[in-house]
Amino acid sequence: MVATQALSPADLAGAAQDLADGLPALLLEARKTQASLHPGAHGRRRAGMGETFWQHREWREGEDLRHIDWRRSARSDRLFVRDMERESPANLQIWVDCGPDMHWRHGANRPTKAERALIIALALAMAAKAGGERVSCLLGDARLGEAIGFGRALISSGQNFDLRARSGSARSAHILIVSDGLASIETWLDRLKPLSDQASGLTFILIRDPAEEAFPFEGRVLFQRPSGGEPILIGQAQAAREAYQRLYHHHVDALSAALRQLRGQLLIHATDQSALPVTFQALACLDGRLRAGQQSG
Amino acid sequence: MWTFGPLGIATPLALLGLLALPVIWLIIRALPPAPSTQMFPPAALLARVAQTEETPAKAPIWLVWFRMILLALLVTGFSGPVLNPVTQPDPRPLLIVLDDGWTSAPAWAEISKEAARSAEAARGPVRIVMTASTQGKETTLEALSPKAAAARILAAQPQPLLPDPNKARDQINAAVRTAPNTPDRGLTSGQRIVWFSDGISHAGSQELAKALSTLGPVKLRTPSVGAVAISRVMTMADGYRLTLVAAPAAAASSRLEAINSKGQVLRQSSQARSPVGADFALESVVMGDVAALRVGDVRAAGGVFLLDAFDRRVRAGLITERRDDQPLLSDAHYLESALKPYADLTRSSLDRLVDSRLDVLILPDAGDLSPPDQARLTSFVEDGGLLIRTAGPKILASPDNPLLPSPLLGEARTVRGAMSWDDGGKIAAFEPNSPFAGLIVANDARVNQVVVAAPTNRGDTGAQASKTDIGLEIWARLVDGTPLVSARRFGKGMIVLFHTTAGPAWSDVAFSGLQVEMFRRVLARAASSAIPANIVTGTSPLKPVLVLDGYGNFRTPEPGMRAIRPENVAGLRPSLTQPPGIYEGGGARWILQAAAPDVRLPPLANLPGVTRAARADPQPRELAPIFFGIGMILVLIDLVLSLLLAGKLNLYLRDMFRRLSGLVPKPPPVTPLILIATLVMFTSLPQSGWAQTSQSNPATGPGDVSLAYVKTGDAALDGRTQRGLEGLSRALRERTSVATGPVIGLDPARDDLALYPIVFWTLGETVSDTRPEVAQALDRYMKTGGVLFVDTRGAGRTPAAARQVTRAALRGIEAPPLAQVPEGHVLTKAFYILQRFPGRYPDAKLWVETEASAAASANDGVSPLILGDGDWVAAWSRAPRPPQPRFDGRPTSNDEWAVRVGINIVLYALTGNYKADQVHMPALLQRMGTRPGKKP
Repeated sequence: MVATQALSPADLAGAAQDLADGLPALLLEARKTQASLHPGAHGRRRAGMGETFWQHREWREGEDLRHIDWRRSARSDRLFVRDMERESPANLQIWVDCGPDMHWRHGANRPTKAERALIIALALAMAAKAGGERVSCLLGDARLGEAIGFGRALISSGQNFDLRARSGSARSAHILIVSDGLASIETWLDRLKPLSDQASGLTFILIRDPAEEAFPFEGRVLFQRPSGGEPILIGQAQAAREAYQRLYHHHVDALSAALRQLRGQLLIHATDQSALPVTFQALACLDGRLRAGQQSG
Repeated sequence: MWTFGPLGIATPLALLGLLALPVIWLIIRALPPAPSTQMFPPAALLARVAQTEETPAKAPIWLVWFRMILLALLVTGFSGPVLNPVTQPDPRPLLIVLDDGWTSAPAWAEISKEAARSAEAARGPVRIVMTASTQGKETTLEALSPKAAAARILAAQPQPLLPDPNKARDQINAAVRTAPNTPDRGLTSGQRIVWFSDGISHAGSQELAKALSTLGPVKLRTPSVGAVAISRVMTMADGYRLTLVAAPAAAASSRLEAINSKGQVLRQSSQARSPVGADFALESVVMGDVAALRVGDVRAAGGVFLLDAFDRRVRAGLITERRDDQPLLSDAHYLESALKPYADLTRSSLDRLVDSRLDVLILPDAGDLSPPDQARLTSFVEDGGLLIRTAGPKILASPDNPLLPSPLLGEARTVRGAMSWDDGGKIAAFEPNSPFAGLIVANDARVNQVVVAAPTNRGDTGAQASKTDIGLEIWARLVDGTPLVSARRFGKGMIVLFHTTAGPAWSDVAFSGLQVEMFRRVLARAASSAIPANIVTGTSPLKPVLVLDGYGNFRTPEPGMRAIRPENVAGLRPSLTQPPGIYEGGGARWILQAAAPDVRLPPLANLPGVTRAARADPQPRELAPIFFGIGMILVLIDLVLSLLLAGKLNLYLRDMFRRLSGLVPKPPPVTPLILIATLVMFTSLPQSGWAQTSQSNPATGPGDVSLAYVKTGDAALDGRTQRGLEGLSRALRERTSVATGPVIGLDPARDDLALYPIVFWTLGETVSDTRPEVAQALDRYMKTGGVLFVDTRGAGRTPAAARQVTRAALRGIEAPPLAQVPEGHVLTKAFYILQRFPGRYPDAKLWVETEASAAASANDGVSPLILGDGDWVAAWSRAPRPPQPRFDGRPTSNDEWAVRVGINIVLYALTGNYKADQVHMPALLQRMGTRPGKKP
């Protein structure tokens, strides 16, 4: 979509609605991506507080006698304890940026940033759910049940980043942020700091339109931010390209550093690429984190 | 108005706009082109970049220059530049003298345009004197407004006469004499006079110039093209020798054309003009068709010479005793078909035919003639008539009749029987000295039987000339030498015998086109026996049958033209009411040439008190459209440039493309520049132009049938008729497929009736005798296929009054014999089935041409005159909607009946006797009904 003016609130609502209307298609895309991941359902493969039988082991001194599996123990001289597999439904909390800046693309042949962000987020959410995790919105109380409804909740919660809307606890939760990351570093620190203190992990997927990096503009151009703000007039856009790129990379680097500081991880995805690699990467990342979280828990 | 040399500026103040240019220069220089707006989420990042990189971009210098030129062009356009502007108008009253004779015709377009322009440019009143069309008797010269004067000049056409300066002088003198009595002080001295002359010195030109110069300074304009007149034509054996007289400005050589009676060019020759004349060589075959010779490249009435042989169709009589009951077998039928295209053929018995003036008599197969007939025929041929006979069984009854080229044998010779397959009966190629030379002999035309000449001494007809063979000509033979067509001079005339039947009885020739061509050639032999033109013996007036207009085109005579009285023919010169042309009457024919044999066209010498202005002022030419046009193109280029600079062009193109492909229903981008462009386009449309004065009739849609009525001059009655016909029009439109146009009131003397299929005429309370020109127009209308419906309203009058009114109205109109509409007449079933014809009076009657007369007339059996007394218009004006039909479909109201009568009358006029065919319908239906029943 080529917009010539900053989006008004009505436009924004319309854009969000458009996004929601396009959800089935996005979901299909997300399912395809998820299917390509084929991680399968996976148990944690270790003993724990579960209902599924995991193993018998010898009773050790000091253990509660109630845990002894008498039927098994009767077949030998030793006492056995029936260990169940540990089932620790980890918590994945997602926030997808659906602000005005995300409803943008440069060139009609690629998705908007918001669309791509949703695809990735939904694919990851479904993969995580299939893996037994609890998936919910970071801001808001929606949990992943029916995919479309969850997508809708993601869109509405993604309109802005308001921590007050947070209902669940971040304890031992893994937090996934999908955004273009264009807000200032300070803003991001303010937003993520309170979360990362409690959370077991933080993954930030930065979605960018290739034009945001390449800056393919020429001539006298008045740049306007979709989310509003003072337009910037550049007399000769081509001359400003290098400086801009420097600034942009600096911003991304700063964001990456900030995340490291918060024990998080930054993944970068451009909308002209396939969604699969970044999703795979993110999943691996989540897996590790979740496992790590389990170990720590 | 400012003028610089040939350039004038209509509104110089507009040029002040040019002062704004430097200001606009500064503004454009200061204003960079508008940036393109780009959505860009990381715009905040750019804020830091922008500070260092924003350079104050300026519009490129070439763009500034471009826009300066654009603006200068538009400003100049608005100031109204004119090339060759009209100089300061002269406030004096203008007198225009216009030579509107045929001598001006070649340059008429130029003359009238120039005269109209000078009239329009005048400030004061304009008076016009036309030297050819003036009668010299008008006492005043109407002062016209410049516009009206220009319109009158443009409407004028050259007359087929020579200008008459004397009459023009009379008119001016009369106007000057009466000047003090007229309210606007009339024609006095202090005039500005322009004389648009034909450049020829006519009798009285000097005197006219003198009279004019007393009124004021005279400017004389002479045309650039002069006429060439044909003053005499000598007919030679192989063409014509013409004497040409050229006006001063005429071209050095002229093209001559021979035209037929329809005005089509048959031959043309390019000929250098010499004082002696020009020879125009023509084949004799073509000469028979030539109606006039004319100078082709400059058209003027004087350049047309009407020839005597004009429209000379041979008058032929076909002698028959009674109508044939088997047309396809009768000789007379085939003769009639063969002769009709080339002759005025009358078919009657001999005693009637011989009394009328005929060139040719055709006698199909006939044996013994009664002594009186024999005597009549003999004297006809001896007086120079041509007798054509065809053979057949009957002619053998009197083989030695003197009215044969040679005595015949008493029996026919069979040259080809049913069993012969050879060349028997074939026609031999025609000999070069035969009248048929050059005709192609059809191969399939065979002759079965012929009559043969009685053998003289030797027994063979053609071999050796014997006494009786002297003067015998054999025009066509069969391949075996048997004569097929023979001829012999007889007294002053000639007898031609076709040795076989004209019909199919003895030969197939009748089926081939050959017979038609042969008869045509024979008829050509008769042409010499006609009366020559311009010899008037009788006393009956000669009516115009064809006249010339100023350009020398053939025209049908108009009602105002008068017949020539035989006592006046000597020294007759063309006039307005008796234009050059052909006049006929009482068997005589008078050709009035536009150029008299002694016509001279000397150049106009220097005239006293007259200054010559050979060339007209160049025409003023508005330059604003050119300026605006170029400005417009620049505006469009600027539009594209601005878009390019702003980087938006591809956006616009894409938008346009999407809109065109119907994907995005978004209005096109309208920029102020486009608005300006449209505005400029409208203001630069041409502001002046001549409305061509049209003399055509009130326009109706093509294909619409307009009901027309004759205006009686009685407003109340005319209004009634108008309303009545409007009602009838409506009824026709609603009920029939006749698409009716508006109802039109006519003055038959002025308006062209030929446009209307039927003309209604309602007679008033009192009727004075119909004017002759009206009667003549109505007469011609009826004769050329029109239907005149006269409502005498007699049912509302006393019988005596009705008779008197009808008689007065029809005075001068050649009414056919009338009878009450008989039972089964087409009028009773043209649309509705009617037994009676009620109008406003229920017992109204209708009269139409009697059946016998209608059958004989050329009007396809349709009565040209319908007379009724029912006052139908009164009923029609209340034209009812079609009523709810009663169960038997008959209407109840009288008005409805009247409308039905009206519809029948109109459809009768439109469809003619078409419905008459259904007379046989009952019989046909009956036959169709009975046939199947008879089947076993």
